[in-house]
Amino acid sequence: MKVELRAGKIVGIEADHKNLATGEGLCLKGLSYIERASASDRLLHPMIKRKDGTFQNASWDETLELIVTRLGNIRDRWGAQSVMYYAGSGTKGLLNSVSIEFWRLFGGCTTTYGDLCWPAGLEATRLTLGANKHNDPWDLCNARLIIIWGKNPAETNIHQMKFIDQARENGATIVVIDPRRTETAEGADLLVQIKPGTDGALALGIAKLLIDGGNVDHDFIKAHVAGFEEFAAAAAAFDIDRVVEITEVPAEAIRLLADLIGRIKPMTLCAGFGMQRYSNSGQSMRALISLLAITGNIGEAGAGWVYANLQSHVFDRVQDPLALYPPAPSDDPVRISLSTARIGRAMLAEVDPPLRAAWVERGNPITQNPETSKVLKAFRALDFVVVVDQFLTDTAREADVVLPAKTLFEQSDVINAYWHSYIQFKQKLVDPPGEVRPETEVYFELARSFGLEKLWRERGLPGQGDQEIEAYLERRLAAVEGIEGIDLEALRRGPVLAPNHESIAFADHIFPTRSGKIELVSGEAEERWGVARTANYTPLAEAATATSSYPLHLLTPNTKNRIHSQFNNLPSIKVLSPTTKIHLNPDDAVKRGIEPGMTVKVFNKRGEVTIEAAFDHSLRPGCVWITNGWWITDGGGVNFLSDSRETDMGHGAAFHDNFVEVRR
Amino acid sequence: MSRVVFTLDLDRCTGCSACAVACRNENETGPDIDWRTITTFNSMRLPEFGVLHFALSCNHCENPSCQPGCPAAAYTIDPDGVVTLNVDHCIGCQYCSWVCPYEAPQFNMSLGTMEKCTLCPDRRGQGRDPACVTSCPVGALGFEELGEPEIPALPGFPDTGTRPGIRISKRSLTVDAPGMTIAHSRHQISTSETTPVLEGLRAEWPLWLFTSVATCMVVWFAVALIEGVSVLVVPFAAVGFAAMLISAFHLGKPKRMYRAVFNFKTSWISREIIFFSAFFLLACVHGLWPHVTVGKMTLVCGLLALFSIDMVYSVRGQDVPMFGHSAMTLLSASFLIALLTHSALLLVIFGLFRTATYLSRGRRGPWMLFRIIGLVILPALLWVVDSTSGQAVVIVLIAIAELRDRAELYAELRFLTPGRQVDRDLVVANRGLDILVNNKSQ
Repeated sequence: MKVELRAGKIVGIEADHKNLATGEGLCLKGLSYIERASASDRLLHPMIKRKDGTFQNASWDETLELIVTRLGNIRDRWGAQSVMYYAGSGTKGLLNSVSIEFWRLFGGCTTTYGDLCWPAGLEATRLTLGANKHNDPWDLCNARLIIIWGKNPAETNIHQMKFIDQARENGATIVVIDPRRTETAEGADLLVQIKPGTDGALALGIAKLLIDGGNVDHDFIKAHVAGFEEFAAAAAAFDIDRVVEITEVPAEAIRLLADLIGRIKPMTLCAGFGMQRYSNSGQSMRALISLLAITGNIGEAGAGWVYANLQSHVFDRVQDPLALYPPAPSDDPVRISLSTARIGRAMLAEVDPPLRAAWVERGNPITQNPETSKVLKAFRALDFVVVVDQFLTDTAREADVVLPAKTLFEQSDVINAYWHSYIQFKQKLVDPPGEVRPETEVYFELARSFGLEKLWRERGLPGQGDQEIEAYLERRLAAVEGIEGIDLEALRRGPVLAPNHESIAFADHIFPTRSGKIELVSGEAEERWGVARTANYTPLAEAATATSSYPLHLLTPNTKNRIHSQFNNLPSIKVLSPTTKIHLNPDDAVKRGIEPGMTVKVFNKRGEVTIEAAFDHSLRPGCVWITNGWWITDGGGVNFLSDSRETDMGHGAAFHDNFVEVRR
Repeated sequence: MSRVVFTLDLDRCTGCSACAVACRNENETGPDIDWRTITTFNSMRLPEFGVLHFALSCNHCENPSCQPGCPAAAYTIDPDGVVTLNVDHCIGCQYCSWVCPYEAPQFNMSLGTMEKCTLCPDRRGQGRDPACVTSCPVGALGFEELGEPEIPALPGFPDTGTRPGIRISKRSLTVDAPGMTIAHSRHQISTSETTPVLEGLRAEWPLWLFTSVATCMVVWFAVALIEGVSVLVVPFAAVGFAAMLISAFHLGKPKRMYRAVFNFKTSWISREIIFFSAFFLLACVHGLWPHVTVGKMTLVCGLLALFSIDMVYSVRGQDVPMFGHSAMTLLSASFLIALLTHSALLLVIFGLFRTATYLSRGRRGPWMLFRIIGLVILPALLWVVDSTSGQAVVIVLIAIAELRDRAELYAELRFLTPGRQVDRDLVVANRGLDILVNNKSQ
């Protein structure tokens, strides 16, 4: 993005046209950063919680002294690993890694593995294709068939819509598979309203139809696919009657899907992160990718698996998803032992040493991690909590000390992406307002107070001031092999595509899997995750029947108005989404005597929220949805209802294995 | 005629609101003001219809309603077609927000004036598009300095003949839902809007009071004239002054009240004020020095003032048409004049006509009964009741019925907005389907 400054004030913000993926225009969240940076409720001072539970502004000296004393005492008594370091994904950039360096110097800490977002899909992709990469975003306009499976780019990836629109204008057929009639579905030729969590069965059923009908690319399979026979045998169990029963998709729609996939090339399959947040979704994602593999839709223009594109992640020694997994036991001072998906329960269960303190930055786990009641309990059981944030979030409210965080305008950094392949410079434009200090400077001060400055310097970590930050970034860039010529000067001129990035991913048909081919059979899947060697379908861990106490399947998708729990406090966003709402199919609502606008209780055995009811006339009956990210202080908190449960692979969070009842 | 034109591709617009946020950034509008908003047809996703997002701001109409309607002549149309509101001339009467079907003019509470899309003159001066257009992430919203407006026949877009500067495109002119694999149930939808009378009154009480008092004063003068006497100048003047003073209360900028007469050429508000002022002054003159010609002139001015009032409330696209409304000031005044001058025939004609128009509005309940009693039975009582006090009670009851009717008018004032247009069109379309379904089942 490009920012316009007038007299040291940010007055304008626009897309940088040099980025071909996002250059058409910013999304509303990006535009609202102007408001965010100067929001009236932004935290501008360190705050310390008083005995009566209210926060009081404090000086940095007093705040740092308190942190050093408390963390020092806890470390002395319980050991450094009694401190939890929790970092979310609220800010991306090279500087983020400074934090963990501090904790190493501190003597260690306990931190999380897995991820709330996307690991089941990442792992499914890694197991099948060997790497998480896809064609350039703009290549989508070359597709003749686009299947948008469990994704709603109109709200979550608005820039992709431009390329979908272009493809449609070029005559492409668009299919959306989603229990909801999403905004994306409005432009589709066909919306398949599948029963949530049965995607794997649908994909395998389609695969069987394709194989039986001879509509597979045998040459491609022979050259590039490993395990086709075993996969075909597994898919054979998914005859159409069984698939209809499982997915509740009509047989003619399944046949139509198979016909489209068999007939129209090239096909791109865009899969969402939401659909891999089920207890069975890694296997479902493997089944989806197999549809591309058996039809030869990989490594071509307009074709492929558009899930995650990590081609710009050149700075990581180990890429996601492997970087998200707990390492084999080591003497590293950092104990990586808490499952993010089960953070509340995991924190409470931790021993030797138990957790006594927490440091949270870039995240809002109270609102966003599953099973809020347990997360709250775990945080409230701690002796000392520090939260770094721009606003007083639900998590910050639980803190003993809140440190004001910078915005993206207030410290330089280098960022990459996970859809396009640009490496970009995030240039510092203004000094942080009030007493805000970037996290790197806070850590540096803490390191000094703990007597660690010498080690800090030895490790080349940045101290105070912008010059040190830029020098640090230069050093980091210089240390990466294979990106020669990419330095801050080059990045200042504009976005730079990652060197050696592939515009058409896997065009060379080199797949970094064990066999070097696309693996429809994976021994590693079985060894690492205990799942079947081929993609398969298993019912959700939290299955429900219409007669159970909680018959409604709760989906908690993202909204265009927020990134998870961020942004809704801003007036220009709040006006678009003023209240938390649960959307019901009118059939389900009428049965319960619920009318639009009523206040209703949404509950299951884990918890409840009381919110406003709204009708979604085209929602799949039996499903209800609430956008995630509402703060508890907004009456929201959808994760009071979700369970601490991991996905079948990747240590993701199975948010969507979630059944509720609604009562007026 | 080529002129400034927004282009909106309904196949591309997802209603993301980036344009609205960009507008807010650029123009630093307050949190309660949106120069640009998204109105969605079928936001509840009825399975029979597609969804359309109308990202609209001021359309800089070729034949706008705001400019002729503005009493303060605060609107101008620039040669390139840009409709500009001169905020320094605005008196904050908010009338433009009544007549504009696009909700383009917005009232700024803290400034007391209206404001609206300026089409980003600074940006255009630098050869850049307006901020909303630049920010559209899907290329749905565009802008042309010299473009051809075009509005296809689609539900949800309000068009009152103002020739808006927008070219809306959509590949198909039907509004179809995507093909779905589930046959969704049909449910009745209701988009009825009702405002409690007291709530409507709370919002517009200065106008209610002024128009009611103006009606009474014309009746007062007319009855006196017919009965060959003059009005009592002191109370008459006191009431008139008070009414005019109170009417200034609803202005955002009362000190600029004098500007309200600047647009006699096209504004019914300017005409209303000028005719009423003339009526008021002439009536006072007539009270002091009775003269037949002056008396007739006064009455003509008074009736023109009332006609102007009714014209002010007659807005294209409004929910309840003003003409024929039982609370029209001209009808109300004629009825009261007939009542007080004991013209039985006129009274019956006006009483029955107004009863019919009242009933046609569909109001029900105890007040409906009271209204009809006030129009039919109470007037008849005046012939029956002998005592002065009895007659006074009857007249007071009739006056209450009249005031209530006029208060209902304010509660029923609903002018066309994009939101009302989409609701209206959705209900109409849905009703059409009902007929189809019924026909099939027969």
